[in-house]
Amino acid sequence: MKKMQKAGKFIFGCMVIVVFCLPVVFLFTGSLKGTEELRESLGAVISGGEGSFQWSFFPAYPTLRHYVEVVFDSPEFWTLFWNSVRMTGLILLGQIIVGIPAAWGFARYRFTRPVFRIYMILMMIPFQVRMVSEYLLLRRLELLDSLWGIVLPAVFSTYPVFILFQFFVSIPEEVLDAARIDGASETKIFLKIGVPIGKAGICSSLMLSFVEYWNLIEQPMTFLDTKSLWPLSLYMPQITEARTGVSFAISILVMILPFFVFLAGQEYMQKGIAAFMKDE
Amino acid sequence: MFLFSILPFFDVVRRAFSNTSGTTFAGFRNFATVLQNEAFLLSAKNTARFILTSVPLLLFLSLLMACYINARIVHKGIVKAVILFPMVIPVSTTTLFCRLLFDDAGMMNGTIRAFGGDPIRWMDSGYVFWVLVLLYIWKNIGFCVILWCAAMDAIPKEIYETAKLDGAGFFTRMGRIILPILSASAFIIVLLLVLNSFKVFRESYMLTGNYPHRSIYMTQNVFNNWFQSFSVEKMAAGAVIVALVLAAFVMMLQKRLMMRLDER
Repeated sequence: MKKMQKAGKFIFGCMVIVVFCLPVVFLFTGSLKGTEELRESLGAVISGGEGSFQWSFFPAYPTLRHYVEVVFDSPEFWTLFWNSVRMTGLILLGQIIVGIPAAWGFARYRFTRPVFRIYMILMMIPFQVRMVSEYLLLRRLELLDSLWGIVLPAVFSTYPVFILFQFFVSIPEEVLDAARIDGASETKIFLKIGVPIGKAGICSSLMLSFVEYWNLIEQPMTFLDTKSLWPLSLYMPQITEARTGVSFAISILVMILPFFVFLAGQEYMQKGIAAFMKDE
Repeated sequence: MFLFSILPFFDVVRRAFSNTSGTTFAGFRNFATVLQNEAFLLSAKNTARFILTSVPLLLFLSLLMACYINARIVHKGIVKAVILFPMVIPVSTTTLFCRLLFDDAGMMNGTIRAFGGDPIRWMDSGYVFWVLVLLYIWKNIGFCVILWCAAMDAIPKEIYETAKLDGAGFFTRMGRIILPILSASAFIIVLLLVLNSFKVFRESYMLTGNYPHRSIYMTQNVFNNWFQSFSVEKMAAGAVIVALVLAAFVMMLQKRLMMRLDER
């Protein structure tokens, strides 16, 4: 019985790893293969030729050529990469400045609850629905086709506010009353009590935002006409399928930053997601 | 402080409504056009179908997994991290892999052929709907499992132990204690999942473009295509309709959530 349980656990663990990490491993090994080898195993998929699909996880002749090609020979990759970094960075910064006080306000002042309800509905509305109003607004502000046209709407996104709200609302009012009696101003209470207690929440909402905005596709596609302003997430589809190895390499490179952010902060991410369940 | 951040949003809401009629007031004519529009109806049906299939499925699967992880697994942290991983994989990476997997001559068909079956045209048939469901579940299950686990952790151990002492078996404990307590959390999970289900459009778009197979022609496709032909009045009317449906849905969920918040 014990043995069977152990085996079950082992199988479960293996399955989890295979199912959830396979694509990455697959693409990684693929990116190390030479063009010839890729054509042999993937030719049927890409050019629609005959023959079936074969794959081995160990490249016969490992090569970094595709990476070299992307990193050194395609300046546009770096343009897009820095676009992505700048865009995501600005959005996160903006969300810190705007989102934290907003969430604090909603959590602490009861009369704002009706507004918070509207906020939650806004959170649910998919981008395509808001697209027209956002487009018209951006046109009026002359922000179309610029980085700020993407950043500004995202800064006022409702999702992080919702997460932070959950963190802040669980701070007992008594603590704050005590601080008030000791003569702390509302601003001071926010900075000295709210922010430190909500630190985990802030980290985790930033984590989730990062994942979200690193992958931003619809907004830049709609609002940015100039290709040199595009983020990295849009780079992929332009690659012709004849250069499979390169597109494999890019798909891995696109992932590197999120991957390390994830490694560094996955605990916060778990906490942040779990925050939705707080105090239930 | 917080008013400053809400104001822009009010502006967006105001615009969404005032644009419905454009410069001249059109009454409900736009709404009528949209509601008679075949593409819109098809997409609404598909979106509803997608949400109604994938969300319950995901809820169920993730609950099972969460139970298993919470009860049996030693290295909870690692397992949770691994299943969260798909969330950070960029959409372009996922879609590239999907294309290899489900192409006409891709891996799935290769496997089918190896076993002597007939290859399936995954991308141009009803199957693409299920591919999308699968993708959605794969991407969101980690998120969901963590939510469930958090909800389970919040159940005081004492309740559980007492029930055990009183002789309640695993299924009794499950049905009488865990599920009722979790049902409260389920509301929030459903809310978040529906929210996330709209994001599956990214993958769908990258995989299939503007005019995918009929079975996954979602509301987002309609809006995208309307946007390209710049039919503002249609989009605005459609937006209001979608917003109303969502609002009704959120209100339903919120009633429960807010009741609990106000109790504090």
